[in-house]
Amino acid sequence: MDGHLLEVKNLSISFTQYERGMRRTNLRTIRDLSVTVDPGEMVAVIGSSGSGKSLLAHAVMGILPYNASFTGEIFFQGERLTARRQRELRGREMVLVPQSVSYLDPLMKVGEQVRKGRRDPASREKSRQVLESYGLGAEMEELYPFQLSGGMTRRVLISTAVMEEPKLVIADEPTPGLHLEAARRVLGHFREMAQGGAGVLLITHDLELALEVADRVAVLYAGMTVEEADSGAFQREETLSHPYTRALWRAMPEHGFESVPGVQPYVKDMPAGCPYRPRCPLAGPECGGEIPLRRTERGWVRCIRRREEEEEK
Amino acid sequence: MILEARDISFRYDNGNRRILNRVSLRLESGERVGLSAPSGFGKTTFCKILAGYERPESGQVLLDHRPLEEYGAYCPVQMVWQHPELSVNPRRKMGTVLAEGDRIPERIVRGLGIEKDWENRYPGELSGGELQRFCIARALGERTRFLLADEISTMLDLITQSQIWNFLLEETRRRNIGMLVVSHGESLLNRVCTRTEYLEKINGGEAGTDGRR
Repeated sequence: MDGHLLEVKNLSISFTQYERGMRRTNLRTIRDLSVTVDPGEMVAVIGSSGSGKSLLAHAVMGILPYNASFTGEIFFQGERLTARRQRELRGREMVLVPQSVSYLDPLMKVGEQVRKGRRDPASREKSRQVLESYGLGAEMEELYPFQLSGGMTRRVLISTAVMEEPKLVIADEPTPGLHLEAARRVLGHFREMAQGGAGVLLITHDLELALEVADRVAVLYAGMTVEEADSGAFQREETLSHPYTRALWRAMPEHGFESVPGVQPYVKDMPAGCPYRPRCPLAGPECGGEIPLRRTERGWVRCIRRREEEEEK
Repeated sequence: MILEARDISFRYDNGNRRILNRVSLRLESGERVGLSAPSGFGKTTFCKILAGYERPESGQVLLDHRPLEEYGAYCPVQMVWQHPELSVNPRRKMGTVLAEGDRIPERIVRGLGIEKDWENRYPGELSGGELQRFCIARALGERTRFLLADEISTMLDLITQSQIWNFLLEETRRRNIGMLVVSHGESLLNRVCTRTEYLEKINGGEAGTDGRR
């Protein structure tokens, strides 16, 4: 554990589901997910919806639903995270900015929620400061969540997390519904926290924004990390390795808005080997086997075809 | 058909400022108008009024020169919301959610990449992007003439976003449906819209080009 603040190693998460009465099935939604965050570093995990991004956050925080179980290891400051450690750390040393605005208590006023019910003057002062920095005036503290717009609710969620001085911030989709300028401000704020020594794990589908602030980007597909590269590698399509990452790049509105047919495979009928295989133009029979990680110039990738292609050249 | 918002003013009953002040907007079938503004400026509120979910303090919503409320049980103006997880009943399976719409053709369901298997699941067992596909399908019933898309793709990844938009462009063209596209994404609006309005400009009485008439 060489100085990583957070290390997630081969994480797999399964859900137990009941079908028609008593038939039990296990759904493995995440497999072989690995990612590290160092102090002072901002790492973005990007992936399509349903690729298990939020589950990663919930596994680290220890708030997976009751019918979920996971294998693999999670270390925080070199120490293995147990349920007990998670309870001690979360909300203090590691905080989560949740994805859905439905995570706010609908019956509690905004100000109180940000202060977590504390009423002392110092907390009030601090919450005022934090909300103010996101452009939310004093009158907002007296409102209930349903009275806020989508973007304002988002800023309240972020405020709740930065009230403490955490070592690790996991931000799960913090920017949807914010206008570009506000989104930049929010990410800029996380960036500042990273400069202050905290590690930031930014979970997002918004590749464009992630590239503006993150040091490294890990790309998730169907619960598996398929590629990790430094943000600079996303400048051009050629410096990206995985066919999925390249498809993402081409789907940007300014890079052609091209869409690849098909959807991410559903966990129940996940193909063996590379999960992108059914949609991949390069796929061959050997993609159905175990796909090892391979170093690239800019990080690493989980693809065997690309290497063959490179070797042919 | 023409969907027209005439001098819409609105304030929520919590005594706050008037959020919409004499906003006018005109939208024709087949047009795709972008609507942009910073958050908290009333974009969603405006959509809710256009779709008949809220009544304006003053002003009118007209569909082909007739007030929107005169159009029977199914509102021809349908809205897709920003938060799909809050727009479906958590206790109903997704198949039922689809049935809430107005006879949704199979073509739409498949075109949006909804898999048969998802229909047997509860909302909590789907991701945001998967849920949003259902919400879009639900709003595209046979009698839908205008579609209000309130930040429908902010929670989607780029490939899903372009899939859904490419589908919507094709579908709305085929049926000559008019769209209002609310988004913060400048590059997205440029890509999908025929023109873009800025709510902060058409708000406050100094209406845009259409309101002056």
